[in-house]
Amino acid sequence: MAYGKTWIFVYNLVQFGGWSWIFLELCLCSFQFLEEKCFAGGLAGSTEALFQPAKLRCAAYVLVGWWAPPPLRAFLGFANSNWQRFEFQVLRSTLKPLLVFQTLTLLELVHTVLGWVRASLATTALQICSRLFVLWFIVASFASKYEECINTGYLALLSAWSATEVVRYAYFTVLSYGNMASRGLLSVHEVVPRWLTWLRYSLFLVLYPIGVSAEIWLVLGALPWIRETNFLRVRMPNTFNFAFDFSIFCAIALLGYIPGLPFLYGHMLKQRKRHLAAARRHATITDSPAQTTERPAHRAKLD
Amino acid sequence: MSLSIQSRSGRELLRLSLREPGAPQTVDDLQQLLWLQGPRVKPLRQRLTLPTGVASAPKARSLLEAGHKLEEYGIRVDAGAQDFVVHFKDLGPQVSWRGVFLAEYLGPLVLFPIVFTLQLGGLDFSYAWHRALPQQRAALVAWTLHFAKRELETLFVHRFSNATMPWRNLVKNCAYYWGFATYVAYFVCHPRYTPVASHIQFWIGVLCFGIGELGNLVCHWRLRQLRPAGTRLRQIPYGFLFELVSCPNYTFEVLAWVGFNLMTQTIAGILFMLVGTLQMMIWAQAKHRQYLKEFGTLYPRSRKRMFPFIW
Ligand SMILES: NC(=O)c1ccc[n+]([C@@H]2O[C@H](COP(=O)([O-])OP(=O)(O)OC[C@H]3O[C@@H](n4cnc5c(N)ncnc54)[C@H](OP(=O)(O)O)[C@@H]3O)[C@@H](O)[C@H]2O)c1
Repeated sequence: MAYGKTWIFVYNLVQFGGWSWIFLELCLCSFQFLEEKCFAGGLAGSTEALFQPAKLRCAAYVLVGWWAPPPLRAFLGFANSNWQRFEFQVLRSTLKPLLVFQTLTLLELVHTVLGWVRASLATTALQICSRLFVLWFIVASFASKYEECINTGYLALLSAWSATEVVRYAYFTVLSYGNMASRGLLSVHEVVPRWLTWLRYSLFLVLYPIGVSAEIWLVLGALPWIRETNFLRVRMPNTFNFAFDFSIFCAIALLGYIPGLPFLYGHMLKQRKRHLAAARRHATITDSPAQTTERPAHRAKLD
Repeated sequence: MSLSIQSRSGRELLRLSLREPGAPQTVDDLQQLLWLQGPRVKPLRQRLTLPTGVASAPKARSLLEAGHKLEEYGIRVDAGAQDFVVHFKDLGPQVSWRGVFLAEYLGPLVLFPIVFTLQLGGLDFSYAWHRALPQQRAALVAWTLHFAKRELETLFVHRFSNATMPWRNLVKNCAYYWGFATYVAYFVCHPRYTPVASHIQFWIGVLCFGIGELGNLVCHWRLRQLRPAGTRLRQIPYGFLFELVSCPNYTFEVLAWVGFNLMTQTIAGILFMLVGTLQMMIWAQAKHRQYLKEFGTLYPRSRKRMFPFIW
């Protein structure tokens, strides 16, 4: 079990590093774009120049470019060639690490099965598989058709996923470090600072809908190309009497989002309520003068 | 000296004195009392268990089953001044056990011929039959016989110990069987179906299928003999393939599906077989464990679960 704890810590640390890299890559590309196209080379000058209203507007422009759904972006004029080149640059520098670190999350299923991490196997599998499906079968498979279909959601997907994961793995790195170092004697709230718990259980409120709508846009955008290129298509007759149409599979997967989305969102809302309440209770107990030996009544499991 | 019925979160639902006249003697009495005085849940919806870690029950089982005396679970008046706890769970709305089986098998029985007709003959069954390849006709006959046999067994052979199950199972099981029946039939009855190349393979398939079905029937018949009508008695089965495995009916079932797939050779059929096998392995594991727990050293040690000599 000691090996398990150490392994979980190392795993979380590696994932934290990986997702930070991806997120920084996105930010660097965006800064470069801002500098070249909006500030005309002036950013490197002084920091105070960064906070001029015009420049803040530029930064807001980039955020809108990250997150706005395709029709809105077309309407706001993000179809210009500068922006397109920027997006392509982001894709080139992030796709590989994104594939690597997202695929690594399959290990979390192993951790759950081995009992090293307490989580619901079904929920974890659902989350991981839906991401891997979009990433490998849509984004990676149609990356060469960037302008035609992947630009519908790649930036939103990347920013939502990487921001969520940076915070999530930061949380788990701290937690698993505390767990390992204290040999499981400390409760979650003695280990993780409250602001990190808050971020971990709040960011998804915004980022999850952004990520999921990006997934849906990507699949919808790729559908015509899946049909046109006969992607992953097997037809009868063949000796194994098998046929497969990936576009139908995608359509079924999209229908699966209808019950899946409220289910997962509700699941996370419940977790949020539970964890934040426990953190608050812990804070009030430790702030009171007579705290010395008292332990929080609710010792959330170190997961 | 009292018996406390609690929800699993520890809330007390009913407290009974075991000394007073009218105190419950059997599990059925207790269920009646719960129905009348407790949480007003009908006996069939109740699941009563001993808390985990209670070693007093001589029958090393924690589920309180109807038809048994409370003292068989260690709940007796002469056990000192001890207080007993029984956990209660409401299983929710129930449907007839037999009804669920009849409904889930009815789907495949009806859907396969329907898909056969639609795929090969529009709305005309005799035209579809005429157009179908001999292997497709054989598949239709085999499939239909298999599920007709299961319906008949459900009606006339099995002596189930449970009368009902939660209604969710009805939805789940029907989705599984009806869905797979349509999926397999779609490919087996496809107009561009490719029959297996080798006649030998086809006939080996027919043989396996036949042996599997007959063996399965024999097992079910023997299981019926173990349980006198109207009881829930469980006994150790002997003879036939029961000497080698705890669940030979599953072994033969798998053999029958191996045969069906040798005859028809579709990925869909193989998938159906694999999922079914996995399910039966899970059940076989549970049943094997149950035998060992219930009969202890009386149960033949050398028996495997489901695959002779292997597992
Ligand atoms: N293809 C598939 O996907 C698939 C999957 C599962 C099953 N099946 C088929 O469905 C059939 C029935 O399945 P099942 O799980 O209901 O079979 P089962 O539990 O092994 O036994 C069938 C009947 O025998 C009774 N019985 C079992 N062991 C007994 C014992 N030691 N003493 C007295 N009675 C005993 C059972 O009563 P209880 O009510 O007390 O258990 C039940 O009524 C299988 O044999 C198989 O052919 C097919």
